[in-house]
Amino acid sequence: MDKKVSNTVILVLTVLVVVAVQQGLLYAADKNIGTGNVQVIAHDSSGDERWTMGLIPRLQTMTKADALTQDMKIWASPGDYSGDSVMGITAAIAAIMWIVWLGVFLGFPGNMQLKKERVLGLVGVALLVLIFNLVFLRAIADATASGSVVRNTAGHLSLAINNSGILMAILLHRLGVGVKDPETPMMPALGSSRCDRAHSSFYRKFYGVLTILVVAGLIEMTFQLADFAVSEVAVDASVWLIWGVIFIGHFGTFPSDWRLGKRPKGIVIMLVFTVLTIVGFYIMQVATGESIGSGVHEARLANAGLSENAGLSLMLSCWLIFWTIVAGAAGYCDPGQCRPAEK
Amino acid sequence: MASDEKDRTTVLEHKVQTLREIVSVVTIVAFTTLLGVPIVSSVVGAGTYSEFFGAAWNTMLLYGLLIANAIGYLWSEL
Repeated sequence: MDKKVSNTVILVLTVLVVVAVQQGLLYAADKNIGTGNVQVIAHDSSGDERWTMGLIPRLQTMTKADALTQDMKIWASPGDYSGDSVMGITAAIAAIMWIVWLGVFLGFPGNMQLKKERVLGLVGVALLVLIFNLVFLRAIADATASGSVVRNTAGHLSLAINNSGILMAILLHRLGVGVKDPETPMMPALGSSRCDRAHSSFYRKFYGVLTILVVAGLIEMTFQLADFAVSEVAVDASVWLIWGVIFIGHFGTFPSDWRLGKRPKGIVIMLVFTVLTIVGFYIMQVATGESIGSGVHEARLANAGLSENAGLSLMLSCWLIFWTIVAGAAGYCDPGQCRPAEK
Repeated sequence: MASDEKDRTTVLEHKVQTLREIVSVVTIVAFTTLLGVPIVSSVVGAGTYSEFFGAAWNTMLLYGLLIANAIGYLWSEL
């Protein structure tokens, strides 16, 4: 992709539309089950579960009370597909996956090189995600004694698809699928200019990662103590850690790097758009009467025994990752003129 | 250097480069699995899933993402 602002705007709009379609379809699947109903794995005449090719379940919908009395294995309850109570967070993960797929992997829009290889690579990623998820759902289905299979697997189906989608794309990217151009590294701060090469050394970056561990720990403790985070510290902290690594990969390892070139503007863009996105989701939450949850000031979270702001920490970390990648795609991670290397 | 010696060096450099890339991916996968197994097994073993985030596999994916990103960051061209 050419690093132009107009291209980035097209990319972001495309990503948001695709995310809306994906989450909309999953939300429709949730609504299709109906309140009070659950989807169960159907039984054949001898009472065994019906699986196509051993991986795809035959589903049927019934009331939850019937499912429990007939001892059927519950596949999904309403909300398990899209995660509508925390739609702001599941949409953020979806947005990150689609910008990695379309912007980073495919190089959309603008001057796309190696188009055939990249599209084929993306098809490979999609197939891996599909098989990976079907196998995992099957494995968890066999281990599920209570609750629904989808929830036991990954909380929500969209999280399973999107998280594995990001991981597979990074792994295939790392293997060099569709990417033969050393001038477009996955993280813009790395090896993109002679300036960065002069500044980076393994130990400098290693200390950077260690610093991120400490800083992410402090951020996580702050949010936990303020009751602005989900109680699973491992989940919540890991997203802050991922953002930390992505941030130093885009804007440079230490604060002295962040002042170079266009980077201050990039950091401002990242912060402003993150806040705007969270405000946007809050407005959507109010406008839809909490059909779509933002995770912030939400009565559904409070009713479930959590803090009503329990999603704030994940909302911030997930959307910060997304807007960091956008700032990189727009060329706002460019360090500009090089200064002498620090020793 | 004689030209055939030079050729041999280039071939060797290419081989080393390929091996380095393979090792880097193997490291990513290995660390993902290593970190994933205890997290998944502990969560599955405990058998308690939260209301909003079934921690099991999702946590493994998140830590896999962290490791993939961190190794990508550390293992970049200098």
